[in-house]
Amino acid sequence: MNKLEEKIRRHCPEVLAAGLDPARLSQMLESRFLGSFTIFAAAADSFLYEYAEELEALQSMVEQLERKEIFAAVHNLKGSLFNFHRPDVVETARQLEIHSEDWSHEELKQQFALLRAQVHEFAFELKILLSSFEEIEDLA
Amino acid sequence: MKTWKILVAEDNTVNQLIVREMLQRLGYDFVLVENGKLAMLALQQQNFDLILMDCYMPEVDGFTATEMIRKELKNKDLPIIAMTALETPAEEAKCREVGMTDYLPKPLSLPSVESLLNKHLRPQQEL
Repeated sequence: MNKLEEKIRRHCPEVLAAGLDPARLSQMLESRFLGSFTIFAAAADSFLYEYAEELEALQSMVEQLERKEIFAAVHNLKGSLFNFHRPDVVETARQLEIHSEDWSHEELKQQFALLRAQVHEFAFELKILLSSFEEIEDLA
Repeated sequence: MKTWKILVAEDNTVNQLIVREMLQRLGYDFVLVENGKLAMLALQQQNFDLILMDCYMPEVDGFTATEMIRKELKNKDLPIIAMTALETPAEEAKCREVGMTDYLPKPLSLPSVESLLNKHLRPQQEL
């Protein structure tokens, strides 16, 4: 167990209660955010600030079956998600991205519905992480 | 000792933040722009030692920008590194076709960025 994982286990009970894996979170922090809670917080804030609008725009593109625009929008969303702790959400986005040209309208709608639900769940987790990691920062 | 100057073209705000932090940590001088069109403009105004290029960006994407840098600006030697998840073989082929030098897998990590920049910049430093 590295120091970051130990800190998360010791100081972030909400993270454990939410079923999030401290080992995976510490690995994410080390590899993507240079082990810095501050950098993670800035990235998470940026995602949380933008995601609702991005989902709304994507929904409109899916409804209008604007395939090129769907590809670009979901690619951007996936680009952000990639940096965090939910590979399953990345994979849902990836499927929508690579099938934006060949799936039927109905398949695209279904995949978008799944993606939207997962992204909302992910955003909720991100808020828990932000709040919990802030407590660790305050201890430092 | 020379400070290498890198041009980064990336539109995603989360990735911008991460690449900025990594390049600062590694001690590189860099300019960050958010699409291929701005990358072209920056390249006409300043000298860079390497470009980190996202593939999909608004206005002018990374593929088109690379092609223009190679053909219109006649810059064949500047290392242009695609930052991509390389989702399909077609994407990899496209990177090669337009003249990208190498690729940096997304999501970015500090060791992968450091290793790739060393690979393309350090050999020149030793000359």
